[in-house]
Amino acid sequence: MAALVLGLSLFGIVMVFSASYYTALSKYGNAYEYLKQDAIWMAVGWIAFLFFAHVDYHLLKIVAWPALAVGLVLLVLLFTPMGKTLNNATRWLDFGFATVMPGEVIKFSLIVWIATYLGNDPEKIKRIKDGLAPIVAVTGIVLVLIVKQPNMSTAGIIGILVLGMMFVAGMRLYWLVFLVGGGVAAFVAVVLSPKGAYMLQRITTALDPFADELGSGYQVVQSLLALGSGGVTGVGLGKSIQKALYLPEPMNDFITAIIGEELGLIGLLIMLIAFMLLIWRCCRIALRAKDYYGMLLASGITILLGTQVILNVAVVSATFFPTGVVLPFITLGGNATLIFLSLMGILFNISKHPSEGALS
Amino acid sequence: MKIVKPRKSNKLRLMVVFAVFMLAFIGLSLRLGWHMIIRGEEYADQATGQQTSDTTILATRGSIVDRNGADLAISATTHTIWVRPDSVRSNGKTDEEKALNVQLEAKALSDTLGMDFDAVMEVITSERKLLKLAKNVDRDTADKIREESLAGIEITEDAKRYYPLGAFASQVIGSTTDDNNGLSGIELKYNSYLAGLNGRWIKNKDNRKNSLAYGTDSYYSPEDGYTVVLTIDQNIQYIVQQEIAACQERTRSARVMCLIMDPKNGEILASAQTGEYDPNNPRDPLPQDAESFAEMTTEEQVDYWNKMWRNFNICDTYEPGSTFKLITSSIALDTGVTNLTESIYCGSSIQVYDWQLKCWNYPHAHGWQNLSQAVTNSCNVAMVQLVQRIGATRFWAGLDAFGITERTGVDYPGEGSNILQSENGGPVELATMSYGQGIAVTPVSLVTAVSSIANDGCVMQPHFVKELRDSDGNTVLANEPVVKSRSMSEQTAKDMLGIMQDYIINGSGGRMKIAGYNTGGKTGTANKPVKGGYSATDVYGSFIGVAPIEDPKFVILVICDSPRGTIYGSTTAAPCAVEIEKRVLQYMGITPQYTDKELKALNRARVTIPNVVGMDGESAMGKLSSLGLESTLAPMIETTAKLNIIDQFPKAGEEVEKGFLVTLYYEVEGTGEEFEYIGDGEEGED
Repeated sequence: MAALVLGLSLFGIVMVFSASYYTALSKYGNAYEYLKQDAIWMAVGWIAFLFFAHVDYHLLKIVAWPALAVGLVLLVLLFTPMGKTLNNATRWLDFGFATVMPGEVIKFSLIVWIATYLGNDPEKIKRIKDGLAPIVAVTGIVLVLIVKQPNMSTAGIIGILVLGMMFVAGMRLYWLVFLVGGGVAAFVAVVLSPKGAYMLQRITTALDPFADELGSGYQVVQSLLALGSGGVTGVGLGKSIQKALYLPEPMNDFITAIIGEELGLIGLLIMLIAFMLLIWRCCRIALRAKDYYGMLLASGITILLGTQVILNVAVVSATFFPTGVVLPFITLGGNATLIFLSLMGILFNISKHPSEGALS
Repeated sequence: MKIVKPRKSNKLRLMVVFAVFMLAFIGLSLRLGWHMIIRGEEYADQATGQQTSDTTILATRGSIVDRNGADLAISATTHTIWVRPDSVRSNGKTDEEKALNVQLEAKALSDTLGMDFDAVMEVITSERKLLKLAKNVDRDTADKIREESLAGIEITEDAKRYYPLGAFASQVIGSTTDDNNGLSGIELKYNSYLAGLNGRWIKNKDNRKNSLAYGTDSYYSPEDGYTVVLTIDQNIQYIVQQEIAACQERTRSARVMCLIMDPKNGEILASAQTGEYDPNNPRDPLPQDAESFAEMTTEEQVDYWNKMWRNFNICDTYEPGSTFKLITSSIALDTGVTNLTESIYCGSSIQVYDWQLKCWNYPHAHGWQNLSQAVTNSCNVAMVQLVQRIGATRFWAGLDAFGITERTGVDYPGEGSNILQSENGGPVELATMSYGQGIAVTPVSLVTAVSSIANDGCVMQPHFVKELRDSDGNTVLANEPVVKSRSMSEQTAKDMLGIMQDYIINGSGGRMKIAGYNTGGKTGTANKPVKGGYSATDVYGSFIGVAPIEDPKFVILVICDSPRGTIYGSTTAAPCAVEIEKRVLQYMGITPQYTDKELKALNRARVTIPNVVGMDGESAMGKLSSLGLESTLAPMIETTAKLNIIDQFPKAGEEVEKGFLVTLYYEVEGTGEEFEYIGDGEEGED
């Protein structure tokens, strides 16, 4: 598992450099600007990986509540002047030495907190008052805070994450149906509200990006053009033309398109297979976890990883409406890199404590 | 610590989640395959469309040069300065900085381009997207502007046609449009050869139109146009233009035309008409017409341009008059209806059906005359008799052989058609045609026909272009001489040359003779047609000549349109043609062969310059004048009364021709003031 993560991380560094140097050059006059940024986050991320890999994951129970508190505080801080607004969304906190995305931090907090909260008693999830309700309440608060940013993609991912964890934990299925229905209703309500107009536009864009090629569909169209240019075998590493200011921020969420252009369908499929293998490894760790808590923790991590990979590729391939979803380990380094590598560290630690009965 | 084991149901549910992920992965893989394989080509094409820039590289238009390679039309690269006012305005961080930068830019531009500051300001602050600031900017200035790297400034290159000699052979060369296409003349006729093939530069660019260091880069170099080498000789053309201008002034003609051709190969050596325009500015009227042009309507201006650009020698017809008798005589000799010795009678007029056709000197008569004498007398009656003997069928066949019944096919746009009588016309029409009345021909067709007399009876294809050369100087196409037809036997041609020479010797009192050379010719005077008949006052006075007789080098036609005062071809066109012939023969390096008589006459015409230093102005000039010498005072002064001659040029004792200009230097009496001779003198001009 660690090898797969390391492989993907290294591949990510290479692709970030390839995808970003043209933008870096035209923006900063220095081709290595984004590479540097990526390498720093990667280094920090791997330190975190090693740290969590060596800390017994049961100790995380201690920090579960504080982590949730910190996550919530950070989310609230967005509404203070510390919040940095970019492209009409306030998603970043500027701490001077680094920017923090509370939306990423809260993913970590929620996984640890839910696993801890439910971890001691498999029957808890089946109760409402001291089981399901607090989780739904906390998640609700988190979602409201995130939707306010607005950041629909993170909200959606968190929704899926929490539902997934609860599903694995053993939630009654009719509650799941009820919650999913509620989530969809809430989503529709947000979209139909005046503030959700741009979301609606994004949804229609997903269906036919070429209808508004130069407007809301621009990124997706450019992404498809990149994929099409790549074809089966790709134009070759470093030779993407779409990254030359056509596809905005090619090293971020749309890096998948550049990978497709440069390495072709073959390159993309190899990468997807690597992710599939990684997710399979993660599932296996969850299946073999020696306790319920460990299984929940591992499941949460696996669900988050899988969801992000799938949504990222779905956006790039115009299958899902365009929304910023980080491709774990690959996208230009940032909070998400640190969070994911930390989570992988935790997973690694879980794998070191297999259940006695598990076959290895 | 009690370990809470995960339940089987938990693991099952986890497997469900994993299965969902796997399904999603498979779905997405198919989706990617759809985009990248099935739709891939379409997307790739669209991507290529936005990623590549396709720049046209202008081919350089070929030059037009004279037969000796002298440049008559060349292409120079000029630059156009474009402005994007949006970019100019948004140059800077604050509003004050932006405003200041606009001011600075306007200052820089107006300084470099030598334009008015306010004018520049108006352009660069305009609301339009892209505007032309200046055109025809030379390379140095454009480079300076490029170096200043000003905001929102773009520089494009384009080629401008340049005619270094200005108003020279302009009706031959023609001119070009602003976008470098032939507008008239050779520029139009040979446009496809001159234009060349534009190149293309296809390369990848980023979204800001900067080219990429990697990616495709295909360069198709332009193929420059061919150089067109004319048959025109710049020096002969110059002589012709100078002489016809003098002739126009002397004869007060509306205009004077001249066409010179090499009879051996059909090469046109000079084609000129008074009123040459400057092809650098083909839409500027001639200086003398500037005022009236300004008052014209647009339509009238277009008519004016067309007339100004039109090459009379090729495109227009005129009444050839008696010069056409050469054609009739040739056919008569060649068909054998007469010979050089037979006598033909002129009784001042001849009855053709119900028409009495009069000879030009009616009621005087030419009496008995042989063919040569008839031509020298320019006898209409003799020609009518000859054409009657020839008969319509043979006469028309003869005209066919001369190439007069159709266009010559000269390589020039818009050649005119000769206007002849109907081939089935009556005897009167045939009779008048014989002496060149009632018909009109293009100068080029008459010159081509008469040239066959000077070329053993072979009618050559007239042409303006000798060859085409590519940019490396290799000949890609050469116009070899083409014999179009045979107009007469070699013997007839020889006889006709003799008749033309006789005309020069005996006609008009021998005034058309050139000392040292044997030439031939024939004059013509014909009334110009006006609506419903012929003008009583306006004529075409013309002369067609060949020189030298022994080995004809050129055939010349001079036409005076509507001369005033004396109007005859012999007094208007002929003297001009003789002057041109003299100078062209000298230019061609043909050594004069003087007869004893001519030498004596020449010697008589030589005088020794006397000494006039020390004389007063008036008596010095009187003395020179009595010897047949011209004189001039240097510097020019009105009065000669109180001048003392202190020097002269040439010095006393030198032998010069009569009419030589002697320059006298003087001091004004009493002042002791001397005037030194400065600058280039008028000496030596004869």
